[in-house]
Amino acid sequence: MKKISSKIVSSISILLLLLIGLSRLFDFALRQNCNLKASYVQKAKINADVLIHGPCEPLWFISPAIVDLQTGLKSYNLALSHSDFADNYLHLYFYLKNNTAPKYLFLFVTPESMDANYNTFNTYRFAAFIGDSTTDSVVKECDSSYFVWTKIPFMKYAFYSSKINFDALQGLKHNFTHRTLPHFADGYEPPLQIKWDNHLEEFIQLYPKGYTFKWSPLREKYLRKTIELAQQKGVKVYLFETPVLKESMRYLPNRSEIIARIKILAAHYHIVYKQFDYMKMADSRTNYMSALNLNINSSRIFAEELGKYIKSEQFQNETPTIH
Amino acid sequence: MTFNSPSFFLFLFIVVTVNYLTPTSFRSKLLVFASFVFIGLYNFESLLTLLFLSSLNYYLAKKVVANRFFYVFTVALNVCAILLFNHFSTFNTGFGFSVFSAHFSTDKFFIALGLSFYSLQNIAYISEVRFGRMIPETNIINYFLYCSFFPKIISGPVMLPAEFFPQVEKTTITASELIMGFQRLLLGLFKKMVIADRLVAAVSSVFDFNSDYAGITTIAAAYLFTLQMYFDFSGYTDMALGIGKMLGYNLKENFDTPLRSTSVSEFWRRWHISLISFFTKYIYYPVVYKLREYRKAAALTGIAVTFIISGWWHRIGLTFFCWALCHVVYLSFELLTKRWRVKLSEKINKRLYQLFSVFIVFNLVCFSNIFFRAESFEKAIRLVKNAVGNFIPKNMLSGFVAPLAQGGHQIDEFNLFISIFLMVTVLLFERKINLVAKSAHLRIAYVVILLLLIMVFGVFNSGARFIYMQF
Repeated sequence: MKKISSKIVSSISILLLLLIGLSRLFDFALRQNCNLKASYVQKAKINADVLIHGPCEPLWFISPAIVDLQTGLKSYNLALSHSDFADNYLHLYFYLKNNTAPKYLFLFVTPESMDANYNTFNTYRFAAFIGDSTTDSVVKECDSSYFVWTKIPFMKYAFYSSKINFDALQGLKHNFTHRTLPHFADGYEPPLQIKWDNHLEEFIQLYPKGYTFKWSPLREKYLRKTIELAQQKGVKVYLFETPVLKESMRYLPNRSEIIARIKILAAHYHIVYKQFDYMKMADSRTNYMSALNLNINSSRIFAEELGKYIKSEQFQNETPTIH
Repeated sequence: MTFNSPSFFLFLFIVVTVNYLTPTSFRSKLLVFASFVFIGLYNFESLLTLLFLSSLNYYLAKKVVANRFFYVFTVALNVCAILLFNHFSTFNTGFGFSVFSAHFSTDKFFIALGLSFYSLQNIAYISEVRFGRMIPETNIINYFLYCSFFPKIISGPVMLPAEFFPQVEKTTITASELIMGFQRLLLGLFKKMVIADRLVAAVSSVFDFNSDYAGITTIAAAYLFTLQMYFDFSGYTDMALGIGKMLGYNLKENFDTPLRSTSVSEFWRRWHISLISFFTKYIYYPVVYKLREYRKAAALTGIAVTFIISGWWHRIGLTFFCWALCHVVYLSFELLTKRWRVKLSEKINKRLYQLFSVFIVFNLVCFSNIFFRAESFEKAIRLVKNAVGNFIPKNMLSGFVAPLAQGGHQIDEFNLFISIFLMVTVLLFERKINLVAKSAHLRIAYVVILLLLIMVFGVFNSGARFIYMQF
């Protein structure tokens, strides 16, 4: 019995040591990975004038190179695919920790962003930063079932291992090769070369009577927190939406109602909710990959239009007022 | 609360500890109580169904010896339970996700946890009593334990009465049994979390979407599904056997390296052994005996009836009928060509013949599993057509790897590669790993390596489902 007990103690000790060591290695490796925006913005001095933020739509549609050409400013695309406002909030928090506050923040907000059925909080993106009080409080609120496990050595990585192992390995590679720039240097990822992905047809099949958006209080909370964080740092915040394919509108009966609520929220913070629904590209599906996603050609046109808008706003903001 | 959920480990720790400390005479009562808690936590309707059916079988068993009507009635009752289970689980997509359900629904009484498994055990018990091979159990607690023992309630193994009841009176649980059980449980967790659950994405991307992939992709998905099912189900069985061992019970082995079989008949002696033993004893042998004067025709009829019923036991529908039909054809062919194949094997290098046979058997099993996995007959036919047409895509990366790696991002390709690497390693060293897992001595290296692999490569957020939970 004594022999068995000592074997059990040895097994647990060896395992604990290995897990603590491995946890430290993953902490280090993930922070070295330049392709992870959460790590990159905390390491590199980006110091952009314009920050583009939100989920996959701004990530794929807005090339800072095109915006910069129009505005003469330096912009960076902080958006991440499938991200919700809590995800956006933490990335903005990381960015502002290490960089000077930008002049403008363009945050992508649509009725879809306010509905918990669209996009999500991608906990694994923050695993390496568990221990930071702000990160902890957001993760605890958005993924409590994960958070309870993070006290066990290495469990913060084990829980989403299929999303993390590769990034950790890549981080080690970046460290060994002294890599400092990510694969997408300005944060923009070009959209896939898809003509039309038939998502709208599947959507209609699933919701023949249309889909009614549900306003999520958690989404609202983190949208407010993101705006407040930016405003505390003196950033001028703009909420915006890209042109949505008009034919898809008829399957979204309360879209205008949600838009009105977003406008009320924007007005509360004295900020603009800019919609580009006047653009003609919304009339034809030839400009889209899906109802919400522009294709590569129309996304370039949109980025130019956004650049022009930023330029005009910059002109208005920087022109001295006549008293 | 399934075997790979965190709450289950807390439950298991409490039950194993209390069971170890409890006097022998109270153990069966404790385990019945624990099993009822386990089932009740899944949903209360499952517990009520089990109590109703078990009690009915227990009381009717006393009457079946003297009266044939009661025997037929009791068997029919259990068959109806399985039929209703299959009917409702086919049309209830939410099955298996309703943990801690608060609301009653009629469907839940029929898709009760483990119903189709313990109904088979009830049939076995009633038959054994009817034909005088055992006397009816006099202690209802023991009978409840036979039906509801929580390590085997979800998906078996199907225990025959003679294999289970003698163990109820067992007096001691040794430290070696606890170690053996723990090591076996760990192996099961590893198979489930590190291999089976990691293969889900690759299999699902071909079977669950309506895209027409290249032949090689479809075939790879069929291979991966067979392997996923093997690791999922054998992983579950390892866990069930490990937990049983820790509680002082030897449950029946369900797998014996089946993917190394050189014939389909050998495959069925090594795959889901407990179910096939049941069908062989209570369906195949009686049919063959009844038709014994027709010799080969009797055996062929026995195979056909056994597999059609086995397909029907899994699910009523065209896909499972086709799956069963495939095995009827394979086994009939083997039976009719036995002499010819023996002669052929003598002419060819033995090792080469074995390897070739393993390859053929594996492919035949994978082909039948397309029907097992496909959500509809139309989808299965479409997959079969895809498998034979446009075999090699123009671009191997986008046409072959990307669909299996969920679009072909580097991270998904990496995950696919790791899964396949781990799976092949386990398959190559399977017998040695099994030996260590069944060892009565605590193997530090084995325990540490498995736990480490589970932590680094395990899937913790899979939703805790096992493939055979749906049957």
